[in-house]
Amino acid sequence: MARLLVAVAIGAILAIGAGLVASTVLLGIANGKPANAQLYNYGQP
Amino acid sequence: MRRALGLLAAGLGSFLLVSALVLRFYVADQAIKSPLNQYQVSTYVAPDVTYFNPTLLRELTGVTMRDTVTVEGDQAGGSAGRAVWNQFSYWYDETSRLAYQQLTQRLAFSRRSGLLIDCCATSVGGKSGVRVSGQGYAWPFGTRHATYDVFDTTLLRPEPARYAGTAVIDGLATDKFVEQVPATRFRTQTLPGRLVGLADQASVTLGEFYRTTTTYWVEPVTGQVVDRSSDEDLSLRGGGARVLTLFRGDLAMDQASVAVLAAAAKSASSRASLVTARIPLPAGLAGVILLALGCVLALVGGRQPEYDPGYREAAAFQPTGPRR
Repeated sequence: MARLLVAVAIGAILAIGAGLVASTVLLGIANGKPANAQLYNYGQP
Repeated sequence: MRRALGLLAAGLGSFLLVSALVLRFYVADQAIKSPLNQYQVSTYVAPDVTYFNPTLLRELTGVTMRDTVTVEGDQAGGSAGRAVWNQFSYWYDETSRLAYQQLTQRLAFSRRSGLLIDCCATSVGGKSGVRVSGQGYAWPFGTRHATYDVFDTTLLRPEPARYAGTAVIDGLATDKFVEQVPATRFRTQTLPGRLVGLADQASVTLGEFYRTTTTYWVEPVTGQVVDRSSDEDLSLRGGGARVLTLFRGDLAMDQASVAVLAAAAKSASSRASLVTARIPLPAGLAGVILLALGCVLALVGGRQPEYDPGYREAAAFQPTGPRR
């Protein structure tokens, strides 16, 4: 029983860790500097 | 062996189940929102425009007007819940090869609901201290078939945009919303009488009227506007009659801009459905099954079966100590 609880707890802890990593990666995509910024020539066709 | 497999299955099941819950209820809330680092250049074109050119000081008709709108996120001004985007809009008369106007705008809004927030040096058309409310750059994630208040940057107040059905834009299913503003006087302008054919008056004060029918095509999962057209009429009127047309035309986003916005919305929508449904649902289901299976194997698989004769003999054996 104790080993079962340990296995379940390890699985849960790894999942929470993976969730935090996924969240950080996805937030990094949206929170970085404007990636495609470039000079735009207004008035040019 | 069965017990070891049970422990492994229980651990994996627990991992999948908790991952599904974390993705759906934590990662989705954290990561699915409007970006701070937006950068987008969109072009609107209006044929057959009539407008008052401030350089030539006269009305021009039948021209093609191009409005190039650049939106860039102010990363430093944003936060976990709020985005701040700056916009620069350049109007160019392609027929006469004349610049018409440049407008700047800075709006802060909720990254989830798209509702504007009064903060962060908001400005519209160069005016600071404007009270803003309603939808601005974005609509809410999970846009519904309802009426939304959209902040009108000419009237400087929210106006209702009513749901008007669905439409496919560049292969993307969108909801269509229409904002209709009847001719509305929103301010007065004082200008030299000669500009409006009243040479005998040094200056005249006229009411400035605005009418528009603006249509938004919104990708409903992300609330991103992927297309927009605006039939606008801005005029000066005196005694109920039109005296001067400041701008009259039907601005529509060009196909290249629509394609870019639609591709971005598709990508964001796909990412959103990945963390809200496509991964959590199967992972959660597999997790529950594995966890249950693992528990059964680990608990039952550890016991010796009762029909094992060796087990019975072992259980029945009672060692006897030395007799005194």
